[in-house]
Amino acid sequence: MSTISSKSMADSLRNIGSILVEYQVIQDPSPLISASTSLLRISNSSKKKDINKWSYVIHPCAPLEFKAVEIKYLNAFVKPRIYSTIEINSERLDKGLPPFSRLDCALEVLNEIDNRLLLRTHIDLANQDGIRIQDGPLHHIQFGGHQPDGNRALEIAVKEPRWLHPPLDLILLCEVVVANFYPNEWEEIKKDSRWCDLIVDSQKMCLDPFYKHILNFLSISSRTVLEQSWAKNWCA
Amino acid sequence: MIDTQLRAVFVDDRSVDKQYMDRLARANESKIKWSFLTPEKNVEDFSDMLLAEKYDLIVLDYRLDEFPIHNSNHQIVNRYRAATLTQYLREKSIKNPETDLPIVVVSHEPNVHEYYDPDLTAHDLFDYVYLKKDINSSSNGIAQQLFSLIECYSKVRQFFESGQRSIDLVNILQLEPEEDAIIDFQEIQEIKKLFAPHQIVRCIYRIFVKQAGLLLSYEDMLARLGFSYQNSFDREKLEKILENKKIKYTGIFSSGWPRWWRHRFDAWMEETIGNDWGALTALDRTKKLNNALGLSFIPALSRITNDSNFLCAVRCISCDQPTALMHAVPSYESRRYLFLEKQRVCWACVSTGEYENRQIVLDVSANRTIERLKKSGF
Repeated sequence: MSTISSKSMADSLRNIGSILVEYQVIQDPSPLISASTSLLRISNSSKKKDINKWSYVIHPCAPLEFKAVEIKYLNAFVKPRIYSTIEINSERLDKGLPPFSRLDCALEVLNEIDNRLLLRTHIDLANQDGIRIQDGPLHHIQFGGHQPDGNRALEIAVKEPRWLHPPLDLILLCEVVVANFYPNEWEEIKKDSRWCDLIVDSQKMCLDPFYKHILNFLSISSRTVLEQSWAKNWCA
Repeated sequence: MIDTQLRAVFVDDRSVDKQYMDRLARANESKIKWSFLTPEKNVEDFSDMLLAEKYDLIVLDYRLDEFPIHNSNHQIVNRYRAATLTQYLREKSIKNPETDLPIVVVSHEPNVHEYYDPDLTAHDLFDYVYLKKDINSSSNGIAQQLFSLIECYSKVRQFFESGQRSIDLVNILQLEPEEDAIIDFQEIQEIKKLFAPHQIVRCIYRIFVKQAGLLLSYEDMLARLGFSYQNSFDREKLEKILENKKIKYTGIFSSGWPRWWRHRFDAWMEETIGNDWGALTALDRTKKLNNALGLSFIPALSRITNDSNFLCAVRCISCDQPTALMHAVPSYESRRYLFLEKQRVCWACVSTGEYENRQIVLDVSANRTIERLKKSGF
């Protein structure tokens, strides 16, 4: 099973930025361009042994901001924004794991007028510190967490549950945002082959290895899927 | 490096304004020999004369037609402004790019706003526009920028003089050859197809120097570092560290407009305080960086929350202070490049109207927030 090279991901981030601007769902693609540039740096400086490992960050202080959109049932305009930290180590594929050694893709929805946090959710990978690994599914989605102004004292207190969920990278999270918050643009953008090609590439990296293993888990009747996808079991 | 004695001419219809040239000459007398001229011929003859003199720099007052100058037949000869004169000069430099040279406007503020600003077709002709009053307050800085412009043209002209079909951007920008992918954008590569040095120099200024993008200004960097402007002593120490790490930009414009490569800066931040530095508040970033680098910077203070516990990210283009992205609105930009960062104005400047003094126009996409801030503050 193959994964995307750092050079390909650099191109993908740049192209998704260009397309999102073209369809007028974002104004400022610079967080994507910045992440793309950091990948190009890795791609050019990588020694042969490191070509399977790369990473990029869209910082919480400079997230990818989508244009404000009206939510009628709230009688308010909201601004979705996403940021992420992604580390790929494709050697993990050989160990029967999806290729992420770090994955944190956060989606926040703020009230446009006063920046009040209305929703925070993030696609996550169970934290691992040496042999200790966080309780919960290896790949999961979680709600709550950090406040957008960096004030840890205001964090939402309860972190559970961690729901079993396939890994989504930044590009797939962009698709989720466009599909859910910009239905008119979504109707057009999904007909664009450039967009579809980028989504398909990310699906191959994120979803193929995940669902392959989930299907295997389903074939074992003595243990539940949730139990087998629990981080300590999947990584055992 | 330029070794020969450089020559500049200052053209103004008011002889009394030679004082501004004198200030510039005093600021860098060792580098440039200055001459003063009034527009004493008609536009064609005057432009021919300027080119024949082979100056390295031309400085023009914008209103060259305010005080009539008569020829021997008692006819007024200076019936033109800087834009018309420069149009002649630029046309000739397209035919002979090896004679192209920097041309800047130095004018009184009312003339700039009343005559230059509305003359949109003139804006692409000049390398820069300075106000005469700014020469009083910062002649050294302006003189250094003028010298830098001469260096820019000298470097770019070399490609035309050597008969190369297109300029080598990696060389002009002093990137490492393996970094060429950083500038692999169509809008940047199109620079290679331009016809004259003045077109290339203007384009590089607009794409790389004018606003944050692939390069960062010192103030842009402070917003990322989480530092306040206070503590000028440590600015030198910080700049030295960045220079040693090869983050400082050394390509054209760098001697007049100091800039730093964003991709190298981001990599250095990761190496120094980890790749989650963008999740740290200004207070935490400053503590970590001061500890790691032996600096004593003060953390930036949010003008909105009056606190350093904020995720500062960008410079407000109105007050130049670091601000959180969520406490800023975008400014309007008529031309956008993917690799440039959207410019922002902080909520404090919006609510007080400070941005209006700097001729900044806000983006209508933020109208609801702008109305709320103007009505009831933040």
